[in-house]
Amino acid sequence: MTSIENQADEQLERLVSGGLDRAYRLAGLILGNAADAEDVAHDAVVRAWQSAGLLRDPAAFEAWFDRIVVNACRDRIRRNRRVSFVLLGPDDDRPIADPFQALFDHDEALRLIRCLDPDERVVVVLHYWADLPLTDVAVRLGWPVGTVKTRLHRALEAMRDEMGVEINGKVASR
Amino acid sequence: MSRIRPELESLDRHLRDAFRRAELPAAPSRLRSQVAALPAVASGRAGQGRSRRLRWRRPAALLTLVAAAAVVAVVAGALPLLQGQPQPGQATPTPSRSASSRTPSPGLSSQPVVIGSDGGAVLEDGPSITWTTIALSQFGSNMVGAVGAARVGGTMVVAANDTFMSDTKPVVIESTDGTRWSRVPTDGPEFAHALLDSLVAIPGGLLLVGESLDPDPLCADGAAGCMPVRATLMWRSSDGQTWQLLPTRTTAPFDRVWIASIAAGPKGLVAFGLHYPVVGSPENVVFHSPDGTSWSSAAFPYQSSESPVVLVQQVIATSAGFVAVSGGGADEATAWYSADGLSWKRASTPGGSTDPAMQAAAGSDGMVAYSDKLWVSADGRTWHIADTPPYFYGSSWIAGDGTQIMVISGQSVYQYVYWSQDGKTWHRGDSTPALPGVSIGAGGSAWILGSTVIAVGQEQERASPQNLYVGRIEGH
Repeated sequence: MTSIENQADEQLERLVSGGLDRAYRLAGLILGNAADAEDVAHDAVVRAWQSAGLLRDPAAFEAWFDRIVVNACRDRIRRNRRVSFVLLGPDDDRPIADPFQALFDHDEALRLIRCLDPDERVVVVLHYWADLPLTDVAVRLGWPVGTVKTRLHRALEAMRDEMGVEINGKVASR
Repeated sequence: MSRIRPELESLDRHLRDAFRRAELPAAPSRLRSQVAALPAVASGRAGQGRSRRLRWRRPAALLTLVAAAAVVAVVAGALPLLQGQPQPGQATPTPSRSASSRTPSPGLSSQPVVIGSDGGAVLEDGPSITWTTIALSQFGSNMVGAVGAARVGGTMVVAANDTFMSDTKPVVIESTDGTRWSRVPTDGPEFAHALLDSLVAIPGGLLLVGESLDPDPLCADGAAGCMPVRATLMWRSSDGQTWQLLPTRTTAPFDRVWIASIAAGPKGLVAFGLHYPVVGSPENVVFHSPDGTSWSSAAFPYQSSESPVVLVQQVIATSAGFVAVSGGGADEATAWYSADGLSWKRASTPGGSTDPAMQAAAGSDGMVAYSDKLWVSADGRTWHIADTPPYFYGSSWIAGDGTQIMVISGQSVYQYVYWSQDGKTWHRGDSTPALPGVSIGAGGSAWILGSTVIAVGQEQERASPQNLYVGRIEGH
């Protein structure tokens, strides 16, 4: 076994101790539900484990693994052609077991993410939750920076539009 | 349930705050124990035969994978043959090569293998392309990503960024033969706090376009709904080796503009961007320059149905001017054309596509645009769906230089390169070696530089570092 593989395996062990939570949360925020997040986080770890030898720079582990998680999420979305966000009405107070759905249901800013298409949602989560500059988002997605910018812009426009709808809807319902 | 408050006016700031206060769950113990059971982790060291020792959480997943692989193998083997099959209303083609043969035929055939009802054809007489892989990580960290390529004289230049952690640095490399590349110094003050976005050829040299990494002084932290925008920077070079930062008066028209796409050709340069005022809605703007050193701007008078702006995915230069393509979201894919770069008209397009990954390329006698279908046009004004498109399969991608249009299409074991000057008649050659699992980004990730093609991509595992794939066009 090469020293590179050794380093990679050390990284994977570290992943189990800490990075797994990040992967699970990142997947949950992108996919909107815990079940898919769990599947994708597991698949991402397996993918990372299979290709750990490709990672020549251990310091770049987080970006490398983020990218695997994001790609796994996008693959999942493409396969499912859906994201399991559950839209609840304003008076719907059913108990919610899924922690990610609960988060999106009860936070007035985060619920807007539901209106985004998958690529827009990925950019928003990486930029605002992971607190990454757009250049780093571009690296993780393998897109040109310009594409990331346009996706983010579209996302913010869509959410602002959605805000308008909700505000108007609230006024109309009074 | 809480509702959006009207005072929620700074979405940018509120999103940051919302994510910061969100109490997200930790990975479930079930997932943690499954990951811990992976052999390398469980034993504290990597084992040999990783793939054999992989534990699949669901046995059904393996069965599904095997079944899917079988289907893909059958389809992959059959599709190249199908392309050679006569289609309804088509002439009988000459026999095509089998999927298992990658050896060029002894004497390329100029007989069409496919003839379309629109007069187009696919011939087997195209030049092949031979690839060399250049690891971009040798010029920095594993996070070097290329954004543009252009040629000046006999020198090929590639612009990139090394985005290792948050320490972004511009990277410019150059080569005269495509196989030996060296880094051009970019550690001077002219490149400080800069991010490169694109690279184009201009009269007498090259133009680099980028942006300052310094924060937006007028819109820090997304205050009051304002979108932070970085200052546009441009550098000029006559040889690709030494670069001069253009004065702010040159880039002044781009104040508070994000440049989305730029192209250079016989009619000068055109850039599409979004202007973000500190207060108010963003506007789509277009810029034109004869040489990259002085720019004029105009509003782009088209709007998206879903937002106040329309975002041009890609602009290309043609012999008659410029063509821009857009699509995505709720909007159908669309094309526009312009002779002078500032006044634009909407083209007649087939419609029906909402794929956002719109690519375009121009040859000497026509042009193509591709989303989920291949459009072809002689002049950029009227487009139709090509009746004899190249065999788009796998990671297809297109490039053009105003003379030739190139399509690489296929999969890891079987790949073709198609050449066309008008988008209707295609000349097919081999892509050797096939780029196994290489994922080439859409829209501006491949460039034809004379007898060389430069593409940016990754190996099949998309988390791997970026490579340059330098293709030598046979017969040049």
